[in-house]
Amino acid sequence: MKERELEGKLKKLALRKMRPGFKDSLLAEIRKREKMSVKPSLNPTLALNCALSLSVVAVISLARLTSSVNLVQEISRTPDPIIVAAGLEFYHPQTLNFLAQSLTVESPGFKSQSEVQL
Amino acid sequence: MSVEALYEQYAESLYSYALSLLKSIEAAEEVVQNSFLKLVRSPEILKRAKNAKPYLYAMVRNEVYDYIRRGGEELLVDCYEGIVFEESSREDEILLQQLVKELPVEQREVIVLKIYQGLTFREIAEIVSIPLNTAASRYRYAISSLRQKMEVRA
Repeated sequence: MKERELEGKLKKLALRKMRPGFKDSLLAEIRKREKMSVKPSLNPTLALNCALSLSVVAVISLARLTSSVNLVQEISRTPDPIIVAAGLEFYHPQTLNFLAQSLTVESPGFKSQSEVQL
Repeated sequence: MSVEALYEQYAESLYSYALSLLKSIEAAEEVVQNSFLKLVRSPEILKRAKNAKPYLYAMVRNEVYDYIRRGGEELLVDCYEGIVFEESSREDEILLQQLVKELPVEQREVIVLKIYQGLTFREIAEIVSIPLNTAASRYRYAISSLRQKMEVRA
């Protein structure tokens, strides 16, 4: 028997499938939990205020609450994200670096935030 | 991609992979369940992965080993009462199923990932944490062993 022939025979063997009852109930559980885990989106005004005050920790907390991606999306929608960036640069440069990398795609104008003078 | 979408796409494949390593349906179900619920709790872990597919298989593999460490199952024995295949009535298929079950677990694992999950040797190497050449040689040994045994027993 040749190798190809054997591989063909192996491919014909049917793998056991999940029990439908289990599959459906796990799917329902995933849907339920995903629904519960939807996090509120970050309020851009709040982010801006936080960044411009000494409460950068609040921005970070909000980022954790809403997930980084949401933070990036929300900040990129703010009227003046550069201000947020300035606040972050001053108070939390690591976060700014992270945002700068993430925002390169979504908001090209955000690239120059390191040049901002406070 | 949502966890629900990943589940729709990969649950069956991941389940059969888990079954190729574990002895019981219940154990494989628990492993798949734990893996997906972990994803729901921490969806960001997938964002860090370059490629979701091998990452999911690696995740299930880790869950399998966690399961064993917790004492849930004695697995990774060479000849096990495997249940990875649907029952067949054809003699040649029954024989081939039996021979696959008798393969050493590390070879059986590569066969399942390559033949049934359509993964590349590079992806398999990543999932199993072995060098690329080792993944390929395990596959060749398995195929060669199956061929010889098929000819002897046929």
